[in-house]
Amino acid sequence: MPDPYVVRPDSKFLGRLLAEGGEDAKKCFQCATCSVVCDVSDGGPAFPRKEMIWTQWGLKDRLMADPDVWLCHRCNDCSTHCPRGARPGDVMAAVRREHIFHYAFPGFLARWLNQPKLLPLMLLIPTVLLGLAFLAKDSVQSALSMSTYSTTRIIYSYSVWFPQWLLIGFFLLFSGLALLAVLIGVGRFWGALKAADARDGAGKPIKSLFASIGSTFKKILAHESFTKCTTEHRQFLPHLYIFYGFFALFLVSLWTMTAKYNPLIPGTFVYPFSFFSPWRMLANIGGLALLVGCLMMMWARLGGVSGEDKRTNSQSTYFDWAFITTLLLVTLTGFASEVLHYARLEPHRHLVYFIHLVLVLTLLMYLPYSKFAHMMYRTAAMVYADYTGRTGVAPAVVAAPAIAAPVSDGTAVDAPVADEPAAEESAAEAPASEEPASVPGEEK
Amino acid sequence: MSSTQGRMSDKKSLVVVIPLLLMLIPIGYSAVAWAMSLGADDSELFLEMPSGEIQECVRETEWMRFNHWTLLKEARDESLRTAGVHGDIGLSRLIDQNRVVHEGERVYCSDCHTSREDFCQKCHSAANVMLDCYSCHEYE
Repeated sequence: MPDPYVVRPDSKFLGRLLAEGGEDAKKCFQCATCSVVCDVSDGGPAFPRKEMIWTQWGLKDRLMADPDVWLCHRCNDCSTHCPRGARPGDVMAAVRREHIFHYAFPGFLARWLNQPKLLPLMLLIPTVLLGLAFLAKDSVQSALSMSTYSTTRIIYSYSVWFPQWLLIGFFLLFSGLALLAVLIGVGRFWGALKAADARDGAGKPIKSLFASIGSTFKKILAHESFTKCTTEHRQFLPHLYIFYGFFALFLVSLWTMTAKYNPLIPGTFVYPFSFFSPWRMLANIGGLALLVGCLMMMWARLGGVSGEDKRTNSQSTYFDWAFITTLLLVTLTGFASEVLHYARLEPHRHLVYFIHLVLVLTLLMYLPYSKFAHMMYRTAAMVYADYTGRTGVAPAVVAAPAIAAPVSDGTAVDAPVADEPAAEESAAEAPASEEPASVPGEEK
Repeated sequence: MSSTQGRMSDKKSLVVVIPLLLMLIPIGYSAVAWAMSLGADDSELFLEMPSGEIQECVRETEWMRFNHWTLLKEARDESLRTAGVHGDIGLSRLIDQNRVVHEGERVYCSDCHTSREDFCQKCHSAANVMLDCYSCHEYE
């Protein structure tokens, strides 16, 4: 018998959820339509019904240790079918955002980054950092008695202001720091998932972690969860374009970074690649994919896809817009510096390239605190779900906690999906069909 | 249902295969280029060495390699602005301002780098940077 679960509503947390994206959560009356229509929630603990009541009650501890919010890919099948207009899709997105804030290291950066009024400061930081690197360039060069130019292999920097060694060192440093920070965050998240499952006597691994990582990567590459959404496919293509566009550009970056030593780039003149070099063509195709994907996503967020049916339209917050806008600006300034380079406009091209670099740095150094972090958290949650047998074959592990009175109805809400055998789950299933009489943390 | 799933799995494989193929093309190209370069004779220099006894350019060789366009542009602007005073606009005047003097004689680019094709054009072709100086000027 597990220890009794003490309900600890967190009104501040609830206020944040209700203020940004989750404002309709209180309309939910736990009919479970959402979990039934959700094609992604299939075979494991059902969502988003349980997240709806956890949100209504402000159960931060439950929500913060819930991998299921990340299994949701926000197709809004649930929001479209919700008879009460409670918009579970938006609530799930708001919880995901709270995950990133909650596990962020250091936490204050996440809080700063997501306040619109601090935007100038947050943009100033990467600008100053890159500006300082630019100013310190010559003294570092002479201190390390480095040769200004490479002699064995001819590499022209894209901009004479930024030699290759400076860019590689600078961006490796900040990418490394961001990676470290996000790994700390994801490590905390993983620990919380394990602790929550251990408390409920669940979460036993059903296969090796390595196998789970492999199958999760396969799922991500194929965008499998996006294709499961039956009524709405609109996230599938834009995300696919952005994902592979980014991947291609990442590959090209790795290739150019190693230009000085890479034996697979033969010859004396190694960089820049000519316009018809397969690498430059890949970069241009990747950039185009990124551009198209970003525009499609923004169009969808502006309601251009849903048309009359506003229920399928996701709520968009500063958190969503900041990430997609940064990505779009990175792409646009990237193409702009390429065009200006061909047009030989100096110093315009150096200036645009500087802005491009600042935006790339913004994207990378704020990875752990922005929506970009979904890349890590979602992957971790998907691996966890696969690893512990949370998804896929029924009967799944059911987290059915013993609940302290007087709120024993309602929190054990892992509703079995209609077409799954659910003999074990039904014992734990509570007839939670009425709206809870009193909800803690009512203030907004 | 089965037809839907069949369509879905086709689509699934396509969304992975197409982008990965696109990314494999440059990698494959690099591998082939590398393999082909293995047997190649690398004793031949990429750029032609200056002929003759003059071994120094108007600036350091490395500086010239990365900044020659700046020098040429500045010299061009200077040449145009002072043309009214000095009367002469042309590449020879431009070079004149940055000349190398060897034993009292003025030295032109072509005195050391005899072939424009083997000198200028080598890098410009490799980087696909159009070289249009000589559509008006003579290489000298």
